[in-house]
This record gives sequence, C-alpha cells and structure tokens, in this order.
Amino acid sequence: MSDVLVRELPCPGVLVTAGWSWDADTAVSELYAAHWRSLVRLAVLLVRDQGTAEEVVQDAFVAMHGRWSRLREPDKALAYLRQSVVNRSRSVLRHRKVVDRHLLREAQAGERVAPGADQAALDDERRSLVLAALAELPQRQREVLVLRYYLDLSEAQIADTLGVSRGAVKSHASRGSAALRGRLGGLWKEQS
Amino acid sequence: MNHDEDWLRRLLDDTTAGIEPSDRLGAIRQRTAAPARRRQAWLAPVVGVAAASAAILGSVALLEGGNDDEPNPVASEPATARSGDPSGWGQVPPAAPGTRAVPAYYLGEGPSEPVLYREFRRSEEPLAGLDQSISALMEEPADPDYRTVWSRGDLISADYDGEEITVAVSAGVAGARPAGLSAREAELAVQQVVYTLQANVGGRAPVAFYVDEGENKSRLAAQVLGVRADEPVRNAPVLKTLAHVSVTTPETGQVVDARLPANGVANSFEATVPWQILDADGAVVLSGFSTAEGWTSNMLYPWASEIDVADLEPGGYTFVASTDDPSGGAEGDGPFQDTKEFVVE
Repeated sequence: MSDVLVRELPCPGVLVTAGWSWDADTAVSELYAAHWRSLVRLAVLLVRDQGTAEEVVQDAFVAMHGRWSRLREPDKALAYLRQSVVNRSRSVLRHRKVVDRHLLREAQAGERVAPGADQAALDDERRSLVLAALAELPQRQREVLVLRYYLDLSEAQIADTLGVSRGAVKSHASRGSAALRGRLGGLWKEQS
Repeated sequence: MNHDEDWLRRLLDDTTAGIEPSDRLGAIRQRTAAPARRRQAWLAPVVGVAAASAAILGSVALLEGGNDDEPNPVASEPATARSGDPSGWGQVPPAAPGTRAVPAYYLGEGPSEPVLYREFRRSEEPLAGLDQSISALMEEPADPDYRTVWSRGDLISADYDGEEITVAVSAGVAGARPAGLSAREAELAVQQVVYTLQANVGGRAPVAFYVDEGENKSRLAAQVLGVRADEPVRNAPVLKTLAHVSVTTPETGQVVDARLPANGVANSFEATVPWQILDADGAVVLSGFSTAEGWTSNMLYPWASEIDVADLEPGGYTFVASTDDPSGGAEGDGPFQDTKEFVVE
C-alpha cells in the first residue's frame, strides 16, 4: 500500500497515523482532500465522461461513509473507494453499452475528422483518442491498465480490487497494453 | 520499468492532466448527514434510469410501487430466456434451445424470519403457461436451502384473463392453517403463488383462489392455509416478502472453468452486494463485491460480476452473496444471504 500513499498523498505519514481516531465524517473529509481528484481521474479513464465520473466517485464516498465502522483504517477505506469506483463505473458502462454504443461511435468519428488547429485543440484531440481507445478495450483490460499505470497499484492490489487472480492481472495487462499500443501506435511513435 | 510501461504511464497521466473535478464535498456531506435509509428526492431520477435499464437488459426488476391500491409498474419479464444475450449480463440464465427458464419463488431463511427466494426452473415446453409455474411450486427447488409449502395436488390449475389471475386449489388447502405451519410460512406460501404467477404474466395482477369442487364447479376460497382469500390477493410489499439478495447465477451445481459469471437481484445499503467464494471446508478463497443498479426504492435491482476463478483447484465451491450491513451486525438482524454451490472444472 505504501507505493500508493507515496504517490497520492502529499504527506502519507500524517494520514496513516491520524486515521485511527477518525469518525466517518472526518474520514470523508480527509480522504476527499487527498484522493477526490485522482479518483475522479481514475473514473474518467474508465467511463470517459467527467460528469458521470464525478457522480460515480461521489456515490463511492457516500458508500464509504456508511461503511466506515467496518473499515476504520484510511488504507482500507482507500482500497474500498477504489474498488467501489471500479464497480460503479462498470455498472454505468453496462447501462451505456446497451443504450448508446451507436452514439459513442458516431461521436468518436466526429472527433477524428474535426481536429482543431492550435496546440490546445491537438491536446484535447489526443486525450479523447486515448479515452476512446480505452473505451474500446475489453472491460477487464481497461480496468487493469488504469489501476496499473495510472494508480501504480501492484499486481496483488489489482487482484484484490478486481477479485481476480494475479495471473489474470498479468495477462490482462499484457494483452491490454498491446491492444492500446496497436490502437494508438501513432501517438506511441510521436512520444518515443 | 521498460519503455512500454513508461509510455503507458505518461499516456494516462497526460490524458488526465487537464481534468479538474468540480467540488462535490458539500453534496457528499448532505447525503451522509441524514440517517442511512432515508428516501430523498434527489435520488428519484436514478431509480428511473435503473428501471429503464433493467428492462433494456431483459432483466427482471421487481417493483413494488408506492401504493398497493394502484397498479404496480413491472419491468417486462422476458418471455423466453435470453440465451443469446451478447452482453453476457442478462439476469435470466441461458437455456438450451427450445427450453425456457420459468421463475418460481420458494421459502428460505432470512436474517430474522423466512422470506421468498427466486429460482429459475427449466422447462422443456417452449410455450409454458401458468400451469407450468404452479407445477414448479409443487416440486422441490434445486437449491437445497429453499423449500416449498405446496405438495403435489394442492394447486390444480391457473389462468389469466389479462386483469386477474385465477388459481384453483384443492379443498384440502382451502381452509384453516394446518398445524405445524407458522402464520409467516402460510402467508409466504400464498405469496409464493402470487409472486410466481405475477412473474409469469409480467404484471402485478391480483390472484383469486378458487376451490375446485369437481364437476366443473368452483367457489372463491375464504381462506387458503388460514390466510384470508375472500377477495383476490395482491402481492405483499417486496422488501417485506422477498430476500433482499438473491443469486440467479451461478445456479446450483453449475460447472465453470476459468470464470464465474455471478448475478442476481438485491436491495442492499448503497447498492453494495458483497460476495465470497468458499471452498469445501468453508474457507474463504475469494471475495469482493458487486454493485447493484440501485437501492433507494422498494424494489430489487439487478447486480452482476464476473469472477476469475482460474486459480481455484478443481472441485466444489459455494458462492455467497449478501446484503451490506454497514453496522457490522450492531443494528438490525444482520445481512441477508443467498448461497449457491457450484463446481470448478
């Protein structure tokens, strides 16, 4: 867990020692301050849309508050939040997959044919290409990739978060990164 | 760190770098300030979305509606099992070609008293009518934790005219409550019939119980197993009658290899449906939780997970889904649970 705390928290030691005496409200405040942004970003990578991502993470915080009496420790609460965000994102996507897969494809096509000219527009276009490519990956591959390479979780932590074996994490990671590089090969060369 | 991994890190960091979420701490505070199980207006649209999606996915949403005097909205019960559901998330287990899955309700134990659980029964007859459903109620359920109150011969036939369901029962059950049957069990026995037939017709039609007197004569039963039936019986409130978590898949005895599809319906705190897989000795070998599509109204919502079981040794296991109990047992009677035995090859 330490690698996560180091990456996500400005002062990890304070949080870990202070957390033992928190009540549920304090836990929400502290974890919100430390992780709201990174969890929303995580959710954006999973569901693409920032508004939906914020709702997913907001729901996860409310659920964590209700469960605090059993979590009690900041690192357990953070693990719960991550797992909740992944599950809730998956739930959102299940709805969406049926309803507007078609719309999504049209939107992607639109984005590709109408790039802006300035650097900001090019950045935006690149980001939406990456999000679109992630959205096209099988669910497990997408989840493993963002937990591994965005949150920097270990294979064991990803296995716990997703309820899968470490072997499965390895294989999803390798297939997912190959697929992503296949879809974004142009960007890969550009940045290398 | 190899070049490929480094590239992925930079790619995802770059993609999210510009995202500055709006501040929602106030909204979170507002939701966590009140007691946990309140119903608030801000949740209403979520319920609508969940219900609509349930219908789209062909899954079974059990809606109670706010008022028993009004017709209850019911998501469509699929007429046939969606064995070809490409998403793999359908709530109805796949059936072999030419067969269908018939939902039937059986008694099982809840935290404090018996409740009804749903099980999908295989039917060889592609166009099974209501008789198929009452026949299922007089058979032993596949799940050994469930039981039925009805014996062969108790329920004779059933019919539906588009507004009301009629059931003919034998004279033996049209009377006082038999010794050895608790009032709760008798109530649930009647609701077994109501819920099962309503699921079959896909609507909350009231159920009229008739006593079969032979020679094509029948009369409305005053009581069935001691439960008043002098007018058509409506479904009792969902959350007071049904288990708050129910597992559709895996089915009892299902054989899987690398992955276990798990789904069902639940109404659980904050939509959280914790699950565990136990080995033959009862030790927990995998655990996690699924998230249902809602939790805030008086209905059950679909949940689904896909669990990687590739690392489990071949053998018999038990899948346990439960409702979430944020108090850890300190309040109330504890969580609902539904278990299914399955086999890893």
